[in-house]
Amino acid sequence: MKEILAIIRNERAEPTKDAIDSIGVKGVTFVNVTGRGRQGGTIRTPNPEGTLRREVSIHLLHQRGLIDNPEDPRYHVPVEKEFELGFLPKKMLMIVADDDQVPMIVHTITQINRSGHQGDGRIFVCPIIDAIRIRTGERGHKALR
Amino acid sequence: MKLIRAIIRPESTQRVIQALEENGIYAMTRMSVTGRGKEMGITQGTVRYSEMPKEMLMIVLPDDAVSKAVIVIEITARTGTTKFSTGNVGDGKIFVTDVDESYSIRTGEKQ
Repeated sequence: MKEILAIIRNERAEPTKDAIDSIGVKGVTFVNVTGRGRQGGTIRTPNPEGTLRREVSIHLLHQRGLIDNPEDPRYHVPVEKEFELGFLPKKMLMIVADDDQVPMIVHTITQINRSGHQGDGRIFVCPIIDAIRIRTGERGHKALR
Repeated sequence: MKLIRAIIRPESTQRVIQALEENGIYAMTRMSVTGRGKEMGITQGTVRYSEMPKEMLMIVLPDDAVSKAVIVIEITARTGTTKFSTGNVGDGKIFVTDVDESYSIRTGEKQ
């Protein structure tokens, strides 16, 4: 038995739920969490404002005769902007499944949640020693079905 | 790989996160939980509080980094005025469990 902990984007929770349903896994627990990854909550994007402002000033400098060639690429370096986002809201899925189901579940979650950008999330697979169904007291594999 | 679950006081969360950052640990998940320890909550006058709000941090680390992270959390989450304080009831607990596999969703890589 394994426990799959998947931390995913909020807006992908519903599609993930449907996809997991369709491969026959019914028991899922969703938790609202906040978190951050390796980048420590910072995002780096090209800053269009910065480049624009720089271009305007280059033209001004050119008009005043301070630089010769305004098309020179070294005057057009895109400025990067850093955003401090800190902890972002995410959803955490908790699924307990038999060992043979794990690769399929991991594959499904990965396929549904991949956008190729930072912040897609992570999946952890942990060992589970025992499972008990509270209603009947069944243990182990029986409790999962 | 190990999964560290630290259940700490909400007011010490910021301090713990900062201390972990200083030690190069950025990736973590946090959630607010309620719970109680073996003291079964606290009694204030005639009112009994059976569940106290806490903050849970979940951090996955390679085996060799675990003991350092545990010590960092332990020292910063312990309440008291001095470094060698014995702490108070309700400072929290740290659990360490195994993680077999870890996948990044963006790349699909096993790490």
